[in-house]
Amino acid sequence: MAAVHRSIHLAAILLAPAGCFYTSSINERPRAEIEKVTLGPHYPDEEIVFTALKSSDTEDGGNIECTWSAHTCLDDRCMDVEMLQEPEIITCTTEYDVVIPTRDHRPIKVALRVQDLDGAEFFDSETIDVGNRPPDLVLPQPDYPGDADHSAVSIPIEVSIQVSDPDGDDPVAISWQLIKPRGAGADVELSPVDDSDLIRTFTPDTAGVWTVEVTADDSFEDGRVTQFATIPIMEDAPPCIAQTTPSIDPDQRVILQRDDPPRVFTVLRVKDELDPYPRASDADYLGDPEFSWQLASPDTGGDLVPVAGAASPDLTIDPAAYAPGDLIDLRVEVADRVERTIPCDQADPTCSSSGDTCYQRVTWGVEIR
Amino acid sequence: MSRASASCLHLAIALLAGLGCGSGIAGDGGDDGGDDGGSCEMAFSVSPERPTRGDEVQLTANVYHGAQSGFETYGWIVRFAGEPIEIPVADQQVIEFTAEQAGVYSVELQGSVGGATCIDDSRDLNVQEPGAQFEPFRLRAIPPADDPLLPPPQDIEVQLYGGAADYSVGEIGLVPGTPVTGTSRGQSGGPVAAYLRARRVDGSDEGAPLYVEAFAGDDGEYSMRLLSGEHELLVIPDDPALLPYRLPTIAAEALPEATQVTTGDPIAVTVETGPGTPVAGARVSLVVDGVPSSVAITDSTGASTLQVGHERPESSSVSVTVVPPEGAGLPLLELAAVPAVDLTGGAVAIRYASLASREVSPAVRLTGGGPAGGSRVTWIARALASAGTISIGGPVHQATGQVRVTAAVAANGTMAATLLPEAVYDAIVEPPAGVEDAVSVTVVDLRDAAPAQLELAAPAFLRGQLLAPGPEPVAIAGARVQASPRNLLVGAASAGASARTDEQGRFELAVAGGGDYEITADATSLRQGRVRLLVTAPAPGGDLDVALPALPPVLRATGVLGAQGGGPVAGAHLQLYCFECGPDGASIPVAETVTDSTGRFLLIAPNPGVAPPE
Repeated sequence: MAAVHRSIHLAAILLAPAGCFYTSSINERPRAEIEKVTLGPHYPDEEIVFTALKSSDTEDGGNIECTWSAHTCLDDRCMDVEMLQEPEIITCTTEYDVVIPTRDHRPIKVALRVQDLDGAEFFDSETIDVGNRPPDLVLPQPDYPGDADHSAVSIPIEVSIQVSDPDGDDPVAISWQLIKPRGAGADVELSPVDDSDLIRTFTPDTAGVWTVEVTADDSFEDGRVTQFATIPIMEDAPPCIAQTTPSIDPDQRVILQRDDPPRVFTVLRVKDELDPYPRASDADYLGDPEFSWQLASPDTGGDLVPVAGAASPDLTIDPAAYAPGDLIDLRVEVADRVERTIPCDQADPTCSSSGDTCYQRVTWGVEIR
Repeated sequence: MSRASASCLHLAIALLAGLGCGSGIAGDGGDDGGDDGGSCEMAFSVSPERPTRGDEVQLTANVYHGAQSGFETYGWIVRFAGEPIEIPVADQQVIEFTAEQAGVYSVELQGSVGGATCIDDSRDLNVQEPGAQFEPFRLRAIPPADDPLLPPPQDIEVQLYGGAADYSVGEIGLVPGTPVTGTSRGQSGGPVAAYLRARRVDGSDEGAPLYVEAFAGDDGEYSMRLLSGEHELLVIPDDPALLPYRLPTIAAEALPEATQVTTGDPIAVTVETGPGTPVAGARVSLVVDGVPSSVAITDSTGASTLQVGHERPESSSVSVTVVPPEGAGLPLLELAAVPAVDLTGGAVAIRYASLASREVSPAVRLTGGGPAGGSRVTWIARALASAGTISIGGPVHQATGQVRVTAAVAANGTMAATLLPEAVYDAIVEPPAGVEDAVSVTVVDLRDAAPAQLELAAPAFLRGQLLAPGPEPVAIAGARVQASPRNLLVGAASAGASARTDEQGRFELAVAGGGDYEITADATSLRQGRVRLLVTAPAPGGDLDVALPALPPVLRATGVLGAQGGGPVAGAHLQLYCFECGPDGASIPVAETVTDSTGRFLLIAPNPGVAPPE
């Protein structure tokens, strides 16, 4: 452009001796000024809007032409750049958009060239820093059994996370750490469930609060975030006889008529973390509760005696084997894999080690008519 | 509206749309949002309705537009064994896929109309093996008893198709019940403590009675939840002197008005021995047309009065039971049901036959010869054909006699002296705790003499191996095998045995020699099946290799339990009964489970298999 100006000036000098002296005003350069409309800070994938509305030209009726371009800086001072968006000539009243590339945190240099009708031009540029946001790491979620908010010793726990990077899915490195309560075994560790490493599992071997710490790092500045999940682990609680048929009323007796068919007395449900009945899941860690039965009848002299071999959740009473008026007490006790003593007197028809409605022993009263 | 009827409605709407009665063209009204509250809804149909392995399965989305109109979008996900299967074009109204494996396919359909997301549809689709056989089962659902708003226990018939490893029974809607709250009352209207037992009369629980029971306390109040419809109700007051009553058919809704002891007719009762000596303390009861009478306890003159229901036919079927006082040396007298008896103004006169009795007090020994202190001896008489007579309103009937008496053995090994009618007995000796001896059964003829000694016996052993089904049978370790005594040994608490199978699937049970047993091998907790078998144990000290059949093949039957018109039923116990697979053709439970918090369940159920190729 400088060469063009020089030619005009030279022509004016040459024309003057010829007698047609012509005086032309000197064209002033337009003014270029970049205005960033979008407020920062700015991150990858974001669109930044610029205008050249503050650019002007006092001559030519203000008619100017704007040429925009954007570059990615390759060094700290942005001296060395590579093209990000090719030069684009647009009217200067039109906004110019620059989209920050995905996963690219290098500064961006936006350049504006303004040219008037006389070809005079001016330049402006602005360098935009591109920030980094840390990954979004959803709080690790332990999969407690059922609707519980805790788990128990010996139950494997899966902890899952969800992670993404708001800056266009920067590669995120995940690191896991298991913080154990006192008394935990050294060999308890977090194991990945699959190749994604978004789920890990461990099997607590002692009661207490276990903590799983997960760190996600996208390797850029301020790109590291850590979340914790505290996992309350209880001791394996005693099993609870939750439902029976017939249902039990300690003050009442089920009446069986002698000509009734054999009646099955059944524990329908035992609630227990590790040894429930019936099993409703395929989980490998589940086992069976142990049932033991006692019977008091005229055949036992009225004493409660163990029913040998009765290890299932049900026991059948055949009323035909009894006489009208016979009274029978049928007791069942349930135990899980943890050895414990039922803390009740033998005379107590029901027993709850926790003193509530979680019974380890129940007794049916039966009368034959 | 049930899922099925909703689907039909949607299908009808879809068909109408195809005939030109649709809701219009997208954008014609300029309002695709449709904010008048009518949501669109997706449902799908399946062709063929019962696909088999290898079929091209066509799924067609049927759209209920509601207040929506506009462009329709569809999104399908079909999973098998939890993994999505590839569908070439999954965004069309009609999709197709090849069912390469038999089992349960999970289908999810989502979509939108005019940009508004519709209510989606998802359900399981069974793809059967060619030649799949089916078998009906009774599914007994027992919701938790602590929530009175849940449906009452009920039976649902389900069919399982075999061959595949999985089968979905779909959604099961329990029928809501009728809450029944009332007061058990006596003839005067006052409260009467009682036991109440209701059972539906439609025969749906045939072979495995499903009772709903309740206890009325001293205030007479009771509550139960019943299915609507007719029930049989039995009410037995706690006080044996009060008259029980049975209502053969009564609607659940009418039950509270009917739980009042009805008027009874008094029946005079006398009990005496052969020589005419009154028997005091005898308990006499009748059963008239299946309804028990009150219980009469004779006084020192051998007389008493009982009551029978006034509402009965002129001639009734009557049975009588007389329980002698303890230690009297008399048998229990029993008169089986006598038809066409007129009890009006009648009396019941009971006279024992002149039976000699004998006192027994044998020494009871361990097999090693030492005293078997702490053991028990139960004396069970062989049938006494003519143990007495019972006259009811005139006619005299022969009554049979039963004796079942248990006596304890003192530490010195001597059985407490017991007076028994002279007859042939099976003497069952049960060992005290902590000894290895087994129950013995000895035939004793007290007509000759009282035995001086009885002995416990060496156990007999039942051995076997439990195998999983398949071309290469696999041993099942950790399964529970239980021997439950039957026949003579029923009631003998020491006669049973149980064990867990070892690594080779083997088990050994020490039982009473010569005893009859039902063997149950239960591997349901190991995700396998359950088998039952009747066996007779060999003589004491003997071994028997039990030819236990291989466990039946199983499948995973899944579904969702809910209440009709309500939400899912969580924590419900489910029992799956076969109709006649028990050892003696009985209907027995073959699998159990409990529903999770969303009502879903998984039953490890018998697999009906596939028909053999022709």
